[in-house]
Amino acid sequence: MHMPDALLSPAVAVPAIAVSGAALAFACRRAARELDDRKIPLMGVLGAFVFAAQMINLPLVIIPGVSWHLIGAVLMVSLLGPYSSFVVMTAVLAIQALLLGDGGLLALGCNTLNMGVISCFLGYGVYSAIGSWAGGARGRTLAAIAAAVVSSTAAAVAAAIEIHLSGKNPVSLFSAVWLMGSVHFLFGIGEGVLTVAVLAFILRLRPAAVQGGAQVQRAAMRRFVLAGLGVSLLIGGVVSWWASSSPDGLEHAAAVFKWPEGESAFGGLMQPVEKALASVPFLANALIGLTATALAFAVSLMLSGLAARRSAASKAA
Amino acid sequence: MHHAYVDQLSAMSSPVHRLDPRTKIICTLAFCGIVVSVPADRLALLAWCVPPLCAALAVSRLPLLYFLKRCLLLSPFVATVLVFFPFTQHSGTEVARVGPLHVYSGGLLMSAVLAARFLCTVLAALILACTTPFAALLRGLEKFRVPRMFIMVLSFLYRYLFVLVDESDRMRRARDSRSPRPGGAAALRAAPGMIGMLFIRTYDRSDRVYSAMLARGFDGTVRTLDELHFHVADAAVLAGFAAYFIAVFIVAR
Repeated sequence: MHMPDALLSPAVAVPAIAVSGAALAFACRRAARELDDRKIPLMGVLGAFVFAAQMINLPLVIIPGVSWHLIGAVLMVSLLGPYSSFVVMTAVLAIQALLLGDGGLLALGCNTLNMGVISCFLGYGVYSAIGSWAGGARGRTLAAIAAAVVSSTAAAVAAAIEIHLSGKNPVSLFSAVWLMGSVHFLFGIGEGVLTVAVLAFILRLRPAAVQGGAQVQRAAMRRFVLAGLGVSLLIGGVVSWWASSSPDGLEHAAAVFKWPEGESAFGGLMQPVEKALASVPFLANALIGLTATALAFAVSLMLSGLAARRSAASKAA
Repeated sequence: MHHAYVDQLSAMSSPVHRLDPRTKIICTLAFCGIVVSVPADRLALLAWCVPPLCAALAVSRLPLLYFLKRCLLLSPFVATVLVFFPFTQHSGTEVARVGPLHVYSGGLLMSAVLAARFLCTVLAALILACTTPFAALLRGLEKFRVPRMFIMVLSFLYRYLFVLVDESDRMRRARDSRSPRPGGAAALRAAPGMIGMLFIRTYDRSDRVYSAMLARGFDGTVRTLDELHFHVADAAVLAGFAAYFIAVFIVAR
């Protein structure tokens, strides 16, 4: 899902670079403050680990010959917490773009937004919210699967929206969101199950590694996470209500925002597919809502982190 | 290490290799920005983006065939989009009819423009990667105010990338040589153990790395001997690059 430069327009790529850059600067500061410089080699070497783990190919049992692999974002989040794992995942994306040409240089902002900000911050939010609610091994299982499914779907939907906003979407926004979202929903389930199994293995052999980052921060962050989740669910709910309240939510949205609409969105090849999809409009609306929630949540998490730091600083002073 | 090819070409020597990494970063980013922002109906402008690319390729003496192969490997995502456009973008005149599907010239043109943009941007990024050793690239990025911590994480990542990829290669080989049907469902059962073990080995390795760094007097900052030097050639390349595209915009307008 690494987007190349060719699929994005500057009007989308540049704001994404600004947002991702700010998120990176912020996460670096937080990660540096939270732990000693022991953390730096650990983060770098874990980035190499993510890279190497992505090379362990697994059979997609349903379709022989096709393989898939772990992405590793939720695994990193559950081991390192949101800030460090965001730095690690961004480093992996940057190496892939700089060294291998996998994902464009200008598109790095968008790719970081989708696979870093959304995967790590939203994934962490879901993981810690469900983990602290359910607790224990069962809670961790549920939390990791939910985090993987939500962040994988939201990242794919965000990518589809970015391509559409760039005017490079060959089908309608509706179809693109639906296609990308549903495929990555399934990938997310696989990712979640595999993450749970890996976590269980690591917990059995080396529990100290897991207790390091995430659990210490979780207690302090829980309040902010729950507040952020509440706010962003509200926003997401409003957006998806608005999207579904008009006769054809997405087309209406496109008209309002004057999005570059793919010519003949409902013609030709996609027509039968779109007709079938249009019979279940709530699915696409739910996906849009989910993505809006994701972005809102990531932003509110960062803001609440900032607020926490401010209040801690004023207490110290 | 059969994967050393990844960064092999950057150790060559040519005028492009000797340029300051900052010059190459600026030129590459500006080039990608120009290619991406050229409107789809201004093919002439897009065509004018090709000569600088060819010049860089020629001067850097990089193997062209290898480059094109790399580009093709990277394209599945773009290919999916390209295949859709001729059938769904109903503008221009109808060119062909394949059963119930209609192919329009507007869609074909859009696909062609996207493919051209893709080739240009990926080639530019690969030229940057293959003419600049990664350490130099990082020093260039550091000068552009990329957070220091991120640079350090990147350099550790790069340093241990090949070590860990070797490690995972060995694990995969061990798995495949012990399973009766490689690629069967048994690989799924083995996966959590493999990835978990890889993580534990990584974790322990980072402890050893940190101890070794402390033993050598690490205090949180990395000091290197090689400084970046901005030569006359760099100024000339930057000026030439800017002059070329300003001229193109004036002429093509």
